[in-house]
Amino acid sequence: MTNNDIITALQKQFQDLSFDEETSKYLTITVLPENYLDVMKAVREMGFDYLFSMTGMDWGAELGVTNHLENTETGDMIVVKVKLADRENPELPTLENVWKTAHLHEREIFDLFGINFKGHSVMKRLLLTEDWEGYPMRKDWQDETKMIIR
Amino acid sequence: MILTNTTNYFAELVSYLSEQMGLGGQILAYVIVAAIYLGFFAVAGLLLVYIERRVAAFFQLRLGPNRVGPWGLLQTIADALKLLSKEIFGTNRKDKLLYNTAYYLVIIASLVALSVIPFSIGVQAYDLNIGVFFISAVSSVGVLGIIFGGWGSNNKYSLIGGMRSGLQMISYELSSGLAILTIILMAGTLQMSGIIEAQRDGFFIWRGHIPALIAFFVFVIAGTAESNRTPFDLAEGEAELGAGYHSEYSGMGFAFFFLAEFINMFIISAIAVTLFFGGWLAPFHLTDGLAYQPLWGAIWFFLKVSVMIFLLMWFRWTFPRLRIDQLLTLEWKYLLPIGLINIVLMAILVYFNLVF
Amino acid sequence: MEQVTLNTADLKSQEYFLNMGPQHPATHGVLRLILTLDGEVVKNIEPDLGYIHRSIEKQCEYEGYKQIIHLTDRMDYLSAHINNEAVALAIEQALEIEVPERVKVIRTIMGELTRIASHLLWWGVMGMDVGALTTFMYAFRDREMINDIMEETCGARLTMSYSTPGGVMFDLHPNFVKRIKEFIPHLRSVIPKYDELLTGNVIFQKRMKGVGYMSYEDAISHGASGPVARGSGVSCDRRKKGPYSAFASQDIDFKEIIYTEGDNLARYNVRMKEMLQSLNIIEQLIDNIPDDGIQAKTRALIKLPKGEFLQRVETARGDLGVYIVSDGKKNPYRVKFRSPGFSNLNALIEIGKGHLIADLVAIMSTLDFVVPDIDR
Repeated sequence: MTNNDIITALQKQFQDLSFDEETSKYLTITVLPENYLDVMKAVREMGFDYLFSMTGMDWGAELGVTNHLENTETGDMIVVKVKLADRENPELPTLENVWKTAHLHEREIFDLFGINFKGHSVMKRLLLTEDWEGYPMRKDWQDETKMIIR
Repeated sequence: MILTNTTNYFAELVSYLSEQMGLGGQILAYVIVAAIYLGFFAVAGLLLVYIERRVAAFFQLRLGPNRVGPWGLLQTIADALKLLSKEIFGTNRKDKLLYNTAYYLVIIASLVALSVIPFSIGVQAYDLNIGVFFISAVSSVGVLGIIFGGWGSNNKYSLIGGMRSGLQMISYELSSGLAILTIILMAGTLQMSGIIEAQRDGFFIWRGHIPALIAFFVFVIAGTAESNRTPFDLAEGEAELGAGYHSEYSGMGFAFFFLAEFINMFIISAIAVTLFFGGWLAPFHLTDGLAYQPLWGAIWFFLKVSVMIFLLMWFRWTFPRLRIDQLLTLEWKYLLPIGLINIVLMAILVYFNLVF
Repeated sequence: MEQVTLNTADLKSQEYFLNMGPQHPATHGVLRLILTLDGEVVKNIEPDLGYIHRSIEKQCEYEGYKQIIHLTDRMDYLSAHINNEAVALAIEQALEIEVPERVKVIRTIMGELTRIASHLLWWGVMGMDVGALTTFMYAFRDREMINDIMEETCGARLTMSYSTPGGVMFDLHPNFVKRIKEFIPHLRSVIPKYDELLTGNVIFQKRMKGVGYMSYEDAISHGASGPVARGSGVSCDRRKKGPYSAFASQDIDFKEIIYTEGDNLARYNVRMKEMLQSLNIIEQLIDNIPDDGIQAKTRALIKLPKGEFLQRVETARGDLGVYIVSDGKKNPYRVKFRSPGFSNLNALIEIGKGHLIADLVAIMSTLDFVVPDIDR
């Protein structure tokens, strides 16, 4: 399945997808939060069954998640990005029921970026203490005592 | 068969002192005997720890303790001193009575069991006519101490360790009891010295051939399990439970548990040697005509016990640990039926006089 | 006398919590598992991480690209070199540098040595976890030889920081080839002894067989990788599927070890066999290490072009992904280390359920966690 096949197949089902083959060597699909779960499911149907990693991202104006997916048969990879404009109450549907590996990855992203995954079974802090305030991986995180910025 | 012709040195001491000084002398004699046994307990315990570490080192391509004293012999004494001088440090929310009696129970059980073991001709604190039965009865008191310690520590790891130990000891008591019974069928007595005397013409492991051999294997397995050693060290399995039932003990409390474990190993080996290998009897009457018979007896006894102990240590440093359900399966589905069939087999052999 | 009757309906068993870790011998570090137990049966596992979280990803955002490499040693410290290599490869991929062939071969040899060292340590600790204490000493004796080889060439025994963008730090020590040629037959001769000591033991077999089953689909869904996934029949070796360094440039003959049983024993066997395969790889490379320099030309201050770069390598624990987002400055905009242990931990949550504590310990052992790798 070439990149073009994926693009045409996805465009049939969903609107408002943007495709990008420049930023990395893999096809990058950017989706809206509303379509996120459905696109991920559709992509899984296409054979991208291995959720390699979920990376929390802070693009400055937006928060989001970058998902790397692999097709275990062919070894092809694609990237699915989702961007959230709301920095105060960012919310996304959970992928826990599609990929089990999302369980811990989403908890980590919640912990460090504050993105709330709706429907996740244990949406608690994973790495930091329960009473930690703020989300340290965000770009606007400030801590004079613990961070040394050269 | 009550033996009267041999002298018991401890009994002699008691009767001599009570003749000389009356009741005071009798009490003094008891104190002396007790002191001798306590001394033996401590020295044997320390020595066994040292030997265990050297044997472990031997199996693990290391040297083991070799710095304190000649060949590191004083290492365990240094360790004991360290433990003595340590702060007794326990949890706040322990059950004080159970927590504090636990290690005494364990240590008293093994000390009492030690008293009926014949070390040599006439070297035995008390030659009970139900000696073997007494040992297996008393050594099962030790498990109470472990369960007390596990429960009283108010620690879940300790509790799991204590419960495992309880399960294990109660189960394996059966098999070791059956193995002992198999031999008693041949000996015709429960008295330790009687059992040894009955082997003068050939050790039971040889005379009882197949059933005795089976009984020996069953006894070694059950004995290893009763003394909580690998592959049956589930009660303290350090990868799972930290230290199991003695997690919350420090200083001498811990040391008592530790010592008792090693003395138990000694007791198990001593019973095995007495039942199957003729105790202090010399093999093939090698030293029978020589002078100082009690000394030769002691040499043979400790030689045989050392081999048994080495075997147990060998187990410990090569085998992985069993799981609790496998442990129970092994006992209830294999060892117990084997033991039961074995005892019937032995009975038939003894009845038709087919033993050597 | 009053008759006391016991109403069995009032009796009920109660589940309880057990805090396994952060200080526990079986968690090999500071992993904390909150277990819900019914008797000794594990009903639920909730991992609590972060006891050794250093936020390496955040630190990377404030460091130059050359410095990042030194942080990665401290993630999966048992495959430190492979972590270094992953970052170096990601940077080289972004800068489109072609490194000398010698560098590729050296990196691969070092990587395989690291893998063997890691597997040896795992084997020793695995034995300890199931109660066979002697394995630890045997494994450490042989691992020591690798550490000595590392020390001679890299100056460090564990956290080498040997790779740099575009090359390696130092050239090989003159003794390197000789030492490796001593080591290969030695390890070949001791691995059968390992099998005699532990693998063939009937207790060990009973403890391992059929315990901790993970199906093919589950392995993929959990994102498992490395020997854990290969024990479930998933072909996922990056050295075969996305070759890098000498695996791409040279024709190396080695097998990807795959077992389909999916239980503890399968994962155990995968690692034991992998050590021999790693020896094969080293043996094929060691005789003709090319001689074309140890460093490609790079600038003193590395700036990556704008874009996103992902490099996946096969560490001893599985599939490590280094994902660098660059905005063209001297610092990366975002670095993500997709660590294999993190996803494998996810598998533990499910496959550990319903087992006894003793089995949970054995499963954790075959999943081979390195906690700094999980926490980062």
